[in-house]
Amino acid sequence: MSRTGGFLVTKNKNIYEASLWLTFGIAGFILTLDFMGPLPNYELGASFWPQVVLIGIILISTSQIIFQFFFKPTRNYDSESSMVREDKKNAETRELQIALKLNVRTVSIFILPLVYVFLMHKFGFFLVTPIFLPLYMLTMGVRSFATIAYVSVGVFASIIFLFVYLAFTPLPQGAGFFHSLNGQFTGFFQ
Amino acid sequence: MNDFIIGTTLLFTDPMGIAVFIGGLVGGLIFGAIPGLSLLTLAAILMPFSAWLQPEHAIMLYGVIYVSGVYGGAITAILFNIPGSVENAPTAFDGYPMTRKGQAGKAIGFAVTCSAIGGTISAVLMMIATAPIANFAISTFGPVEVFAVIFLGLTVVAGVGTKSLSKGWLSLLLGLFIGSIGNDPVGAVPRFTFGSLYLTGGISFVPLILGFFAVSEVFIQGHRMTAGAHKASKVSVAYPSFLEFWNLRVAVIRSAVIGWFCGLLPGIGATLAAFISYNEAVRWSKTPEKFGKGEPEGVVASETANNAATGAAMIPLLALGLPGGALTAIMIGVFDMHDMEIGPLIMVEAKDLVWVLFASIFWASLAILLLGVVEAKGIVHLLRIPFPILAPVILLFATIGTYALRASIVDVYVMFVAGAFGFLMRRSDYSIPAVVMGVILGQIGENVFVQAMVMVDYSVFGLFDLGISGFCMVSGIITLVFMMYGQFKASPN
Repeated sequence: MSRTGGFLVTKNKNIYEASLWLTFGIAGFILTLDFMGPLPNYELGASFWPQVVLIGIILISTSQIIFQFFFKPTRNYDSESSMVREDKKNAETRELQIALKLNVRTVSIFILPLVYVFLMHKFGFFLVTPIFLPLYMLTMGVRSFATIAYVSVGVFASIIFLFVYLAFTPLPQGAGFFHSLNGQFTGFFQ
Repeated sequence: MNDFIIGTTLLFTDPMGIAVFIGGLVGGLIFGAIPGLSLLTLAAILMPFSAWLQPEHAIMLYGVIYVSGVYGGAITAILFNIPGSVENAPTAFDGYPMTRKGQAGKAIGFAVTCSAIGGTISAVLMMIATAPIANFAISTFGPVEVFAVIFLGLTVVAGVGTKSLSKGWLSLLLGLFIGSIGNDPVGAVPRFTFGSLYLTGGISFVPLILGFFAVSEVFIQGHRMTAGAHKASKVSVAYPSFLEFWNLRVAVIRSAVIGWFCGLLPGIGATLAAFISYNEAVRWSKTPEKFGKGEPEGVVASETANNAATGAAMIPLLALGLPGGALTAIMIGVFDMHDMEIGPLIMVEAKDLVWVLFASIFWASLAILLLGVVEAKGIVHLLRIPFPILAPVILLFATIGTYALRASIVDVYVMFVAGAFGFLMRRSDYSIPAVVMGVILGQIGENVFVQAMVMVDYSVFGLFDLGISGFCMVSGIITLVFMMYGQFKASPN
């Protein structure tokens, strides 16, 4: 990526980010108008504190946008040696490559936990966790089935001992039939 | 001194007393370290059993688990970026980056030693002057002063963990905004709730902290792993040298004082102590830009202060019957179960028992030093577990920890959303410590701000009164101006 190209990408990214913040600040401020007005025992009302915060966001993001339009990269390039500059450029490129590298495994790393929580809510902790543990390890790159099996059993048993048997911690029980099934599991383990 | 000796004798001459002491120490460490198994869980589980114990053992048990539990949360914060409880969150800001740099042994060493120092100083001060200090603190520190202290703390937060001051400020303001979601503290007016019953109670700290730290870490490392760029944390058992401790002596003393005073304030305690102390460490540092990237002083500040708050929290509890937090409130119940009423008369009516409590806190603080030195050498080997195996375990513990809080699946979703936001924000150089501090200090801050404004008759100048509040407000503004000037000077134009 050329020096100018890199600068433009950063500049555009900063402007998009600042615009997002500005939109967020304005939208939030508009929402505060719903609960504006003094309270019987507090003149400033419920909106005062969030309004101060949101005005702060609006001011900073606006100044960021203005700053980006007048920004010119002069100092850093003059003072750095060409080697340092090259190293920085390589590091930035590497980071960008990592950020852009999306594949099924990467997406699974983000999506699987959400699916796990959704299914846990429906089918309960005791039925879904023994599936999630090995599946996530597989997604993360563990290829030894013995390791996956030992770790899954070990972790699940430790959790049951610590949280269910010892600490009586509430765990998601699922809905309908699964609720009573998980309840029976809990009773059994306790 | 005689009273202390009597208290110690009562503790250690009975085998049952020794067993309860060791059990409390180990139990506190384990429950404090694992999210979902908080100190409160342990305290609540033990409460019915404590009725069967002798009064001195029951009271001692709660003193010991309080001290060891506050330290316990530091271990997982340092090794895996999972703070065991809210007051250990600032420990993760620098403790985990130290682990990533291969300095886990040092980070744990600093945490152990400073927890012990903070706890011991606090216990000694508690023994010397419980009643007069409680009266002084409660009469001097009103809402105006507490707000001013929080304002002073917030002014430095923006510089932590990011190169850009504006991104730091946006992170902090986002935290303050999240903290304002839910019913307002005066008229219970719903704010940004969109009709959701869940949001009326506000967003709890625990899912946010676990999401921003633990879940986002799993996402970041997982993403790097799939891109072939993951680097495992190096395992190092090197303990900090005496010279390294000596260089941080001022930070230790400052943090102990801050932690102790915060611990005195009912309802604030160890959480505010750790955050304010961390902020002050940043403010007084010659290299504030290193904080959030593995600066040992960050670990020292947080761990000294949160442990210093434990002994101090006993002072208003014993002298005035005011609990500093949920655990000290449970202790009132324990005293009650043994037919004792906490308040000014307890020092006369049950003097021996109070000294057992003082002695147990003192000895527990020293015991965690011994336990911690051994632990520091051993526990860092957990880092040898490959991350692909560790990742689902971290997610599982974070999920259980969040769900156990109030049996709400929405909390778990909030945790994962916070994790996703944390992932995106960390990639764009926003400051996660600033967001978390914004949420926590914002919620406490708004409560005291409301009371302060009523007290000063809605005049902002009232906050600049001579004394502690004026000093803190002016110092905060000066800090703000200096930080802006520094950023302006460092900017390319």
